Amino acid sequence: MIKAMQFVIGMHGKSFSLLLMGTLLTFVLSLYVDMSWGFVVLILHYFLFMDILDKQNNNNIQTFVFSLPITRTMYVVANYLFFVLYTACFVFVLLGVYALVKAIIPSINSVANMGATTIVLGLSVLLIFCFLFPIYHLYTGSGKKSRAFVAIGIIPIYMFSFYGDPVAGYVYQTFTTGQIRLFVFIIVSFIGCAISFGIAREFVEKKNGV
Amino acid sequence: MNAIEVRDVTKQLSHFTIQGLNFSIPKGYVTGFIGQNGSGKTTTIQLIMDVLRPNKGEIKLFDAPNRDVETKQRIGFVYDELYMYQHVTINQMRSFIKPLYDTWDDNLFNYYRREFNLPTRQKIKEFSKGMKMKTSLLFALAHDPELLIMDEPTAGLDPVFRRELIDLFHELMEDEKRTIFFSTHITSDLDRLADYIVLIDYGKIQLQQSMTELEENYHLVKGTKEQLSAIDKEAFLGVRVTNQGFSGLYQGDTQSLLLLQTDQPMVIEKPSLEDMMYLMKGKKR
Amino acid sequence: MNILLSNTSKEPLFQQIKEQIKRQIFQGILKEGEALPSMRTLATQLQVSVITTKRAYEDLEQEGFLVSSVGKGTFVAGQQPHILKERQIRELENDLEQVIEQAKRIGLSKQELIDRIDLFYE
Repeated sequence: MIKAMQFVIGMHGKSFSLLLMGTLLTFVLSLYVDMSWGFVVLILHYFLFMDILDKQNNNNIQTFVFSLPITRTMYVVANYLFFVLYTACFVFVLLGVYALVKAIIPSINSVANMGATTIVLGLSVLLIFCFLFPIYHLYTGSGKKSRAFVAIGIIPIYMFSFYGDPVAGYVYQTFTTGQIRLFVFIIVSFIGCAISFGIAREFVEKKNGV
Repeated sequence: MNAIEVRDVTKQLSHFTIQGLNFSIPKGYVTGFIGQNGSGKTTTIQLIMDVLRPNKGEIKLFDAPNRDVETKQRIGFVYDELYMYQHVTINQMRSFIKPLYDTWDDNLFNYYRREFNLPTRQKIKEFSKGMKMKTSLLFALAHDPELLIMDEPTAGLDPVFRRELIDLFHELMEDEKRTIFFSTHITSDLDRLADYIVLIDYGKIQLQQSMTELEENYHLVKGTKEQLSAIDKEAFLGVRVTNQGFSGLYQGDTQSLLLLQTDQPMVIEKPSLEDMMYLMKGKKR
Repeated sequence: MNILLSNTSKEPLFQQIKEQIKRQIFQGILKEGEALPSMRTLATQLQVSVITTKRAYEDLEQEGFLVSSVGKGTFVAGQQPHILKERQIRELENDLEQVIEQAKRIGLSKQELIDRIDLFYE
């Protein structure tokens, strides 16, 4: 298991540390300029995930990975664990930086419900991954089908654009105010993640690795 | 003991079907896997490597299922296109491949990296085709595998390095635990290296024999059309007739051919693997 | 031991190795009890497949030219002088048979063949 994690971190690690940096930058920038940073972060993640998963299929990395001494299930488990870890990092780093910035420059814009916002945002990122990963593994190779599928996925993110349309605003407020609702969101996210994992595992075990 | 055992394997792909594939590869020897393009070589190798999973049948490596992680640890693989992460350097790649193999040997890795003249700071995607092939080989050899499975490892290499590579395979085979199974369409690679030959055609094994048996039992016979009519057709595995005469792949003792009453003697030669593939193509199925 | 192999000869590689080892035994270059390289080492040195050297060694063992013991290696067998001679004669007879076969095919009479042998013997 540790080996599998080492392998996945080796493969993705760099891309995601960059992603985290990008997120931080967006966030810090948002403290100076009023902007819908949550939306930017989600879009950023969506396109980068797409790119990473697409690249995997393009270069037929699958063939390589499936030939290595690592079981397919282990590979999927390692991927999901990696993303849960990434989400945790995402939340803690953002909160840490926010606290730091506040301590240094107390006069800067405050973010309402920073804790809840970060958690909802982090989990949303995790859910994006849970949406994309099985789709990419449903079709062998980088098919037009998976791309089409993935393009549709952008719609919920628009809906979720926090400061955008009234529906999203409502959804956002619903989850970020009130502890019970937040708790429900967390539970739902993890159930979604588990379902996605089950589906992905099934797809990966059955697929042709070319 | 067999290093590879393929039993009644059937695999359906959108463009290609393999049906009832059966063969085994003996441990301690080099087996060459030959066949025309599109005959199913790559598909077979992908089945053995568990990249493709059969619809029916089973594949065993060292008497264990080919899916087992422990089994895969003993294998080094090389594919005809570099299937790897390309946006990293060799050293970065080592950092995440190394933990997967218990027998990984950094000394061996460094030794081959120097032998193959591969740069550590350049990204793999900037490599030439030959360098990419060497990179695959480097990662295949660095954990001192018992079984090397390669798909067209000599394709795209310059002639000198190809010879050096064949020499390297000879050296590897000094260890009696080692087994090499590789496909190639450059059959001259196999002339002096291969112990066994497996010939595949249309997803079916046409021939599996040791090189010494092939050398002894198969002959390339050339002569006139009149001579051809005097010979028992059954003894030929394949014949090609031209205006000038015929050339055929003859199985068995040639003594009887020499005794045939003909005005000019027939030419009897040692067939190359290429001759065999070419002539057997004309064989009636 | 020195072995030179030809790729273009119609003689199989294992046959070439066999013949050359035999010749060196006949000529006394390889002496009784002398150790031969292992078949895997020889294969690497000659750049031939393992099965080629294996076949050559096995044949030679069967014909009594070599002995091998597990774990120790392969050695040149002791050759009784009169048996050695007898073998050499038998080899020669085989070659003669082929020569006569060929003579017949090109329509050479027995006397004509003998005449030619006489000519070459001088």
